[in-house]
Amino acid sequence: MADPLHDLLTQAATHTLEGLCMALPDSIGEPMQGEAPRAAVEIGFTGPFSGSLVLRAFGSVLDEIAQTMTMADEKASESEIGDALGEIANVVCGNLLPKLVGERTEFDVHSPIRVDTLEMESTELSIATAVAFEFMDGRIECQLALSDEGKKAVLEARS
Amino acid sequence: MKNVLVVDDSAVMRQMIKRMISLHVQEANVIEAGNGQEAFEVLGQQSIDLVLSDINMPVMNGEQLLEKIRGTEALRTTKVLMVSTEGSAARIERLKNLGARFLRKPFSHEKLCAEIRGAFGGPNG
Repeated sequence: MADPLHDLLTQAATHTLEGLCMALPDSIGEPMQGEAPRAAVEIGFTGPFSGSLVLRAFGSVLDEIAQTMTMADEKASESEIGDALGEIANVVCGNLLPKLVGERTEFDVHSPIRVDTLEMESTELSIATAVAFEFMDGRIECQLALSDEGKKAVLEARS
Repeated sequence: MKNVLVVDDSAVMRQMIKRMISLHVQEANVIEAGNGQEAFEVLGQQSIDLVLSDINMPVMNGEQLLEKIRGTEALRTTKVLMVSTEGSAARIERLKNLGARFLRKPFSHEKLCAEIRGAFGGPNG
């Protein structure tokens, strides 16, 4: 059975990777366990309900994406690489949220923060869906976490 | 030469926008600010033809910056283009009611440059 949340996250992330980074994934699949990411960011949002989006980049794909985004000849710096992933998370979040419960709903999207662990900070949120984008030089995983209230609101809005 | 103030807390986005403008809008000179507060300080110091601002930023966000610009006599007619991921129709409507143009991220350089040229040549904001 199709999972509407998974489809919405996949669409928002694909649109962002293609439109913002000119990055076309080779395939789309499920996140893997255990491996340490090259970089990871979390972006929280609050509104009618709260949630967060975590992006994790593996391999060297993010280095190339950051260089594409800065449109520079030289390699992106470590700071630019983290900044690029934060901006990707921001754009995915901005494109996803109106699709969850309607375009007139307002959310406050917080600034992205770099995260070092694979664990989520908040205990009030649980993973709602996740997707992985495979590239020749690595992988980008997107994970959406929502409060119980949020999951219920999304299901109601889409039923 | 027109002065374009690019306001975004992401240095990568500022650089991307700056490169797009320098490559495709030759008559523009880009000045950068990392948030609304920094932008408002720049606006008090030099003549700006177009403010191109993100919405979600720390310290002072883009909507607060737009309200400050419209509430300041000397800046009231400054043209503003909001460039953001913002998806809320209600917020976009408020921004447009304050005379701002709106461009959603992600965008192509063609769309960005068309908006900038439209703001330069078109009616206020």
